[in-house]
Amino acid sequence: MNLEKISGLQLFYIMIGFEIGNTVIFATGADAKQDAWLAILIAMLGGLILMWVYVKLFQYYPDDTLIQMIPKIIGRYLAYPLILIYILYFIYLASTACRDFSELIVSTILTETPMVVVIGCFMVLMIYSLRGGAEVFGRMGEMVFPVYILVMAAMWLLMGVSLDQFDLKRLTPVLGEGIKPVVDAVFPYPSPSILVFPFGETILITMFFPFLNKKSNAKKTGMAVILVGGILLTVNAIVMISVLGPDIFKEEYFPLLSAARMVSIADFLERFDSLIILMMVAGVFFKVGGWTFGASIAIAQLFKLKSRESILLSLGVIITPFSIIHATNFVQFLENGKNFLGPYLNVPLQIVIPVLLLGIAFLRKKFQS
Amino acid sequence: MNKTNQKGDLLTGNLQEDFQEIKNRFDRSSDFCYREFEINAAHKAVILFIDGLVNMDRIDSNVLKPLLTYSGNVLQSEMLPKEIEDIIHSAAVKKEESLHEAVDRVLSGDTLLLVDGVKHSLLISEKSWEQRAIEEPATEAVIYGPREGFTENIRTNTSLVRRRLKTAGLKLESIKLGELSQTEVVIAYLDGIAEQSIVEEVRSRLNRVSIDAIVDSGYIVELIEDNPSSVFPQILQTERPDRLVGNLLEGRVGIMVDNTPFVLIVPITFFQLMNATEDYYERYILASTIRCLRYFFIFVALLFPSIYIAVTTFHQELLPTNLLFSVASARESVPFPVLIAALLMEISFEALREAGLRLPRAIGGTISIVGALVIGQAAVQAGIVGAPLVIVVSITGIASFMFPSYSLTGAIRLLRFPMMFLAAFLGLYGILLGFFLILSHLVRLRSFGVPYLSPLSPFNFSDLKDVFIRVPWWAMNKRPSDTGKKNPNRMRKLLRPHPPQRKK
Repeated sequence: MNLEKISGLQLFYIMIGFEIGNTVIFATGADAKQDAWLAILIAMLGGLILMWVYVKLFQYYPDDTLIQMIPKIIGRYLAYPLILIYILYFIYLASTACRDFSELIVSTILTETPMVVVIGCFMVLMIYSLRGGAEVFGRMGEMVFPVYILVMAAMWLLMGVSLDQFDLKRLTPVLGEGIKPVVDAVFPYPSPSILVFPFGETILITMFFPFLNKKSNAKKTGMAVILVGGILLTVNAIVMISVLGPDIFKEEYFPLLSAARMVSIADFLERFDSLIILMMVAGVFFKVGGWTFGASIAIAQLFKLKSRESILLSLGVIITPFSIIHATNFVQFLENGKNFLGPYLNVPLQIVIPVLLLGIAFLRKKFQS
Repeated sequence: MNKTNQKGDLLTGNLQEDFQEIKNRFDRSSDFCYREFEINAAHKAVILFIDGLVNMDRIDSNVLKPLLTYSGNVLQSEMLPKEIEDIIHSAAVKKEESLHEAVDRVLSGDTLLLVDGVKHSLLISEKSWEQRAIEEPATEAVIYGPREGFTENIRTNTSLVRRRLKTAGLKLESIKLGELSQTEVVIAYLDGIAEQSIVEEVRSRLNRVSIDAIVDSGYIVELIEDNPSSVFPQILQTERPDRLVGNLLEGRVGIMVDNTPFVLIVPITFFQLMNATEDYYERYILASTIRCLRYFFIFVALLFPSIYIAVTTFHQELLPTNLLFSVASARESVPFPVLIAALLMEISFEALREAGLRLPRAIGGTISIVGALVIGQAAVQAGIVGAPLVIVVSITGIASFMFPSYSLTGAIRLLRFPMMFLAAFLGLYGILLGFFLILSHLVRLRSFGVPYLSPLSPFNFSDLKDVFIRVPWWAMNKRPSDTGKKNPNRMRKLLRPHPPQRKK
């Protein structure tokens, strides 16, 4: 299979868009109330450790994606079911991300449109973009993400400067309820956990590492993704808690929307929530694109197929209805995420198995040499 | 294409046979002229040419007169006697053995001299025909800058380029394309600056072309481009010699085609379609501002009607309250949904534009004013469309005229319509999806190997000095790296001018 080359910077842009595209809208770390920002920072440290695991695996097997590594580490017969699980996992997460943002769009701006239309059109765009390969995806990242960050920064600045409700005192008392809520928000049990969403999802970067044109960049890029992503999410949490206060922050599904609604410049430009939603679509582009691309590479490598384009079409056909049927309404969707996705899928596949794989790979190398 | 290996292609030396053969080929051509005469009353000869392609005065004085008045001895030989060659006073003469080649050259305007008993013919080049004078290019007028434009004669065009690049490194390779048209196509590049791989690619793509005739360079564009199914142009067409020379200096390759003033330039990026030649001659601050304005207006030309449709249909809360009232009241009386009204207006506008091209110049100006004001005003008063929509459509129309490249304007005009449909069905979300689709497409395009969105897409910070702004000439030390890597230094560094220091 022919691998296109992308630069470290392009991979960085893709993964950052992937990591925070979805997450800035949600109330990440809300269980820690006003210490949410602290929880994010601590989870970021955990994320750095996880990234170290992924990078190390890549360094043991350069030129291999995660899917190609697994048979080499645990043997062919154990590998097949595990790879299948990973493929289904990627597809499931792609559908979840689709469902996420389409719920947002249908509930706010396109209220009469059936969800299948919203998701279907998005998947058409996705398939067209991904058919160009990782190169096109990386270039889109280079072009779209800086604009995304500029708009986010402008939003934060506007919120900080122009809103009366912005009050940094809402962040106090720091650690007022003790360290336990913070730790609870970080660690996987009980969910939801920040370590797993969004930092654990960066396991997808292992599917992209072989595309780098300079393999030595992998560690730098990976660490930068976690660091920059963590800092951006922290700033986001600080701004939102300062504007909305910890209680509203916890109750709202989409706190960034509520905060953006309040911004008004010179009584003239107001109601920015449509802009925020558009930005989220831009961010979700990378998330859904990343998962779909990862799934297509995994399928191509598992079945040793030459071309990825036909797989993408079939993935699009699967993901669109799957995102609609896996949960009947938004509440059930969130419950699924908390009770099923978190403990049974995210933790083993993102944390436990990569650590195990690293351990076995390490032992193998030691006994071989 | 050469067919010199055909049987019976060589001249036999027998004047009657050869002359009859050529006369048969030019049967029923009323502009085929010949004169039979004798040299020194001993040797029969005939001179042939196509009327309208030769300079009759020179043929009379430089060729016929010396031949008719020759009174020396002529030696019998199968080779053309040196004496006869010497008395012909033309600078460009050539001996030719092949009948087919001789006929081809006569068709290009040469004069053929056949002498009885001689197997060679002599081709004398004294071409002259009517052609358009060098005038200001109609499609690319500027305020500052030279007013010369290319014409249909390829020799004039190559001379315009030679005058601007007086270096032997300017290579002008000539090939003939088109079996019936035998159009001369010249590949122009600067040896030592242009990448050999690009020149080689141009050569191979042109040599692949096998067609009956090349009437205009537009044929060649479609036969050699990378992605013919894209609406975006991947080859630049220009009428200005200074634009061609500027691009040659950056390492690009020019393709000049006979019988058309439009020269092709490859490889190009999207941003070059947006650069006007004037930007390089005006002061850099003004030029940079106008460039930024142009880029802003791309979005206006592409998205303004769609944004209007999306905002009035789905996102009314984005408008400030007072504006919302006036737009709503304008829409009260209109029976159609916004999409239909917008489509009506846009299609009428496109029809007006196309009709304006065909109108005779005398009434062209009046019609555009009549069309825009009266019809627009009447439509608003009749309640067919709303007044804000007329404003939107006219601003879009003005914006789409801002681009220096006509093919790019065409692409944007086309893409406006699907965006309007997307906006009507999916609001701002649809506009975003459409925009991302266009962006994905642009990111994949390549023009002769150079990515279409360089230097933004494979990001290269130093090349951005000539994209959205234009840095002053003293700061443009290096050529753009997508085509100019071979010879990157353009000028001495630190050329910024300073006022002279005065002695106290």
